[in-house]
Amino acid sequence: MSHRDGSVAIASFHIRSLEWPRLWTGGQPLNLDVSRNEYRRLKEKHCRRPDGSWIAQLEPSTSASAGGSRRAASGGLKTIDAHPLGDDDDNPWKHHYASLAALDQILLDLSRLQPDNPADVDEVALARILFVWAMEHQEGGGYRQGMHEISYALYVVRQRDSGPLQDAQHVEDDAYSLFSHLMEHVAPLFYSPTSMAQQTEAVRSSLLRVDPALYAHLKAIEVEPQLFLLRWLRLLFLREMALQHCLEMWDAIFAAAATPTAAGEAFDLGGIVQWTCVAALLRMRGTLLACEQSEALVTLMREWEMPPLEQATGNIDGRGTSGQMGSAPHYSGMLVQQANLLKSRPTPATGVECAVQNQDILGIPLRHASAPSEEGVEDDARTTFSARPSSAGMISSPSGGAFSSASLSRAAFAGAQKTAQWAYQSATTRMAAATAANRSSSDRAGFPSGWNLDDVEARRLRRGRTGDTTVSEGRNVPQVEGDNEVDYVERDRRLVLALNGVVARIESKADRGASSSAAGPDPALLALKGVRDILAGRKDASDLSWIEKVGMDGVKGEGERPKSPSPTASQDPASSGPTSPCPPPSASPPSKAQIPSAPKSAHRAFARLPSPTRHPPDRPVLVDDPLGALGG
Amino acid sequence: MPNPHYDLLLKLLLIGDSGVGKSCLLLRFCDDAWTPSFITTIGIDFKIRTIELDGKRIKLQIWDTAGQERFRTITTAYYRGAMGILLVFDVTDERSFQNIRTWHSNVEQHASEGVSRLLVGNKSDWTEKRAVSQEEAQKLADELGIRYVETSAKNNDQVDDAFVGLAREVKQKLVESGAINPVMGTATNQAGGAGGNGSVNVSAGGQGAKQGGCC
Repeated sequence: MSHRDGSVAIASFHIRSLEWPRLWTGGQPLNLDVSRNEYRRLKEKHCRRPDGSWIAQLEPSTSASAGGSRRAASGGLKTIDAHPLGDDDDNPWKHHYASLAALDQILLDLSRLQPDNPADVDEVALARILFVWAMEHQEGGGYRQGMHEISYALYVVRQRDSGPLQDAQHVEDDAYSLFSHLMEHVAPLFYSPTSMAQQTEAVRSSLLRVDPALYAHLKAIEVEPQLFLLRWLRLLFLREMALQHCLEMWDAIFAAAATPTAAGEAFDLGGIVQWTCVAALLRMRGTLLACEQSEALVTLMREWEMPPLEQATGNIDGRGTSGQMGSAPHYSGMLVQQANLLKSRPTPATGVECAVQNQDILGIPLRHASAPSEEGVEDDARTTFSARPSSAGMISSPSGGAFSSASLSRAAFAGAQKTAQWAYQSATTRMAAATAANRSSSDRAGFPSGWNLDDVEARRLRRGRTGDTTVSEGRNVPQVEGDNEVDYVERDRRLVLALNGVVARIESKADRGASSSAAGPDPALLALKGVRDILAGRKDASDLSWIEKVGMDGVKGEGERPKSPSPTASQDPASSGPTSPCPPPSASPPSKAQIPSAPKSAHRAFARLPSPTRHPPDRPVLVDDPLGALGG
Repeated sequence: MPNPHYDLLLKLLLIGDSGVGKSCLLLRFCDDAWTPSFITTIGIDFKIRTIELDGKRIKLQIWDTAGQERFRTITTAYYRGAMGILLVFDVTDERSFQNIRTWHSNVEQHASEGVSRLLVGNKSDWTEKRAVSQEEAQKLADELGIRYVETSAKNNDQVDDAFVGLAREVKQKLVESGAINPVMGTATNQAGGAGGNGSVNVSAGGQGAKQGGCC
């Protein structure tokens, strides 16, 4: 089968139907002959009635199937003693009729497959796959709704792979094998409430670790994670985006789930999926934080926002070259990148990093400007995120740009922004390095760029951690602060270095200005140093009263600078780093600030974010004070 | 003080066998659309529509459940705080009608006491395939002590009547029980409201009945 770009070479280095099962089975080589024969045997066993004739709805069309005769392989109908209407327990007919109930459900669901099925999948073949699998797994629970969509996706994958390396004759056989392998990892979520509860709890607790504010909000508006996670987890996000996006995401997820161990490769799907859920929640956080229960549920249940396919892949088959991959961001793959990042460093700081990425790359504002403000609960939650909106923190710009310059000098703000950008850049660099490394290994080349953040450092860290399972992660949950993991320390060390640079630069400017010495050091600079010292472990993080002492507790805006004269703060800040244009301050309605109950570290973390710059014009927008929250 | 866009929030629930048309009823009621083959609901789905009853804006939060879902933790979440339940069957499918009893005992088991219920026979347009007569269905409804409505999501027949009628019944019950003030539509008794611990929860999420205003 030829590909759109006419290149066989491109197709040959990325054949999902060969690569995926290798990942699922811990690197074991596939024996297609064995699996195909096995399926044919099972098909004969389950898809025929006790007398040897095909179950009508499952009969292969003669043209499509080799050996698809109406009669059993032995030829002719079998003669059996049992009467079709007999009620004996060992009557094969009785079992046959019982199994038809499962078939009815399968056929009903298949008839309701995505209406825009572009792949022209043979639904009878799908029905056989599902029915055979269900009969083979009756004791577990057989067929469950949703499995049909997984089988559909895998069938499409195998069908598209047909070509020089994958025989078009064996699409159904191989699709069964793919389905069977993947279900080993997913089926418990269909059958076992305990498995689902564990996985749901893992997502919940992971969210708490990286974004306590969002966690608290969802809890406050009584959105139970299981309501939306059930579908996300069971279908591995198939319903949440177009199939092509999802297949690309699966590339990344499966690759990330296959982790090298001492004994070879292991496949832990739960871990990466759990963090992908969290990354998805982080992407919606702005909207969710502005929502009450109903709207939040609607948001969580609707398809995830992705760019049009052409833009994302440049190629409907998703087999784009690396050049095409690089030409547009991989929105679904990026979620898995972030999941990897969050998984390796589950701290609020990493949550910030992801939120900044979402803003920088996807243009998703950190908070939703058009928040419907009607509910008390919601107000509290918004306060949770914005930490401490001060009366002076409301600044609107006639041009529609709005940002907070509340109590900080722009220089310090720029420093904070720079730090966040630095963190992001460092992550991007690591991603690029990891991608390059992966490209060189022929197996995984062709995955979306940056699909794997597992660089050497992350692997080292993973080895250092014991019992890295969802359950043990769940047990660690409340440990938002005091996370002593090596990676966190290393991260802070790097941040300290960056902040050192910022501080030195501002100080050198101040020296050149030479007028500040009489008035004492710039409070903004002190605040910046304070942040650095906390990161460096030189200052006690539990006592933040010093922020108020230096006048940086978020109560003053750009319009009313700290009382201590501080020329440095008013000196040309733009040269200190990237910053936003400063609009004139405007009258701001009073806002009631409540200290939220979520762990404070998160506010500190999110407070380091640069404020959103995309807002609808003509309305004053409550924006965050990047460092003012430190006072909370 | 921010203003609500509605006076009362009600949680309604659709239950019934797979394929009887729960999602189609919801799509018709909320989006006034119809599709012959709706994709299978996995777990739950969810839609909102705000209607006006006696001059009050009633926001209906309607939960659509997968006919096959059996996880107890999930079903408990469905039923929690539900104030009105539509028990749906397909008038062309005898088995879905027989199963209404099972669904009803689920309601008794999981839903809060005094929850309003409605028996809905969907696909009434499909006359040549009808397998359950109106009399049979009415008899079952009488036995269960609930109303019966026949709908066609396809032809948009009685769909609004079903949902709005149930909402009216729920509102009436709330007024009678003193949970809301009949004149203002204002919550008068919100003790334990946010907990939603199986009790009828007028203000799930704390946003129940409030005096309106403009924004």
